[in-house]
Amino acid sequence: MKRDRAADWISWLSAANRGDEVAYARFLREAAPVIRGIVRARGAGLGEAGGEDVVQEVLMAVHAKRHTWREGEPVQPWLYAIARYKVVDAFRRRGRRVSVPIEDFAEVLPAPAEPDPTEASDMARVIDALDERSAAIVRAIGLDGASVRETGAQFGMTETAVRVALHRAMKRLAILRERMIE
Amino acid sequence: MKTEDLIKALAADTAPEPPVERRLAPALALAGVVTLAGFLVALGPRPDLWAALGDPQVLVKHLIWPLLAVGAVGAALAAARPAAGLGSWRLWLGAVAALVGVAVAVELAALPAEAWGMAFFGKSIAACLTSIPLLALPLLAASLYALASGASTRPRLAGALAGLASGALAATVYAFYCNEDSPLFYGTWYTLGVLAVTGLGALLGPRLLRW
Repeated sequence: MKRDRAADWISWLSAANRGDEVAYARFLREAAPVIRGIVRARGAGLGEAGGEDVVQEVLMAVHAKRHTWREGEPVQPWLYAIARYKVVDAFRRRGRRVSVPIEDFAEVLPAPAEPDPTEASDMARVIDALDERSAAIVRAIGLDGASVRETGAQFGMTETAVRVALHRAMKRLAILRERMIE
Repeated sequence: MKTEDLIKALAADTAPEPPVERRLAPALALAGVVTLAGFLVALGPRPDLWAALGDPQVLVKHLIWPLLAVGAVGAALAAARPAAGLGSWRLWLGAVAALVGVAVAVELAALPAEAWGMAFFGKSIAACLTSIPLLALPLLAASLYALASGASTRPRLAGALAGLASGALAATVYAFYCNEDSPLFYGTWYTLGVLAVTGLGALLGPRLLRW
């Protein structure tokens, strides 16, 4: 049976908005190669690592603006619009002009999810600029793959406190990123 | 950092953010209090308000601007969501513009040509052109603040619509002070005041609504 991606994405993102981390990770994992495909198709010359920086920028934007998706509406046009805006923005800030016609995205094939995609460098720099505690939490959950509960135990914090700290850290990261990658 | 690691960190952060309308409503309510206070202190309602409201022409004057405000708020909220077209809000705004056109046409037909000039110029152009933008400023600040939490891929348009909404709300309030009830007057000068706020919103949008 053919999987219906559009329906999957709607149900995963709805579940994510109700706090389902597993569904949210699943959605982001499927969205990433699609975003990568868009960035590759448009971003020849960025290099692989530079391109991956832009992919991560788009993912951060999707995360920060997920409340602008309306329950039940198709996710793809929403995701493409965010990707388009952020890719243009990324090129503009890197001093290059591109135009990204949205119609083209229908033709963009998702880039294969490689087992080990290139390491991007921007994010590491931005995380370093966070305060120590926030950076440690982001690294524990991101790099070490710790759960919120484990991270709480590690730092002597309640789960709620870890979630609040992580939420603030993610917001802060988006702002820092905007400021640092000029 | 690898993208997979970033995804793990993002996925763990499921704390919800309120949708844009849930930020806009309280922001506009608060700014509305400021605007109303400014109105009451500086202008106040016209003394013959109750008697005037019995006149259908006056009712139309009081109807047009809130209708415009509703359409502009709806369109601005749509503009704050990626890939959401303005859709039927476009029609709504067009219908309000048509309503103004009809009111003007009816007035032109009803008045003898010699009276057009007096109705058009009225006696309070300056008050109208300064009051509407000033009354709109708190509302514009509030709507831009709320829209900034959205994700407008067309920030200039979103800013302009925020300006249109704020200007229309200000005109709604100002109409209670103003005793010029001819569509030739408000169709021209109110509209100019509202458009000035729209232009200001269009200027500020690209700066304030970037994300």
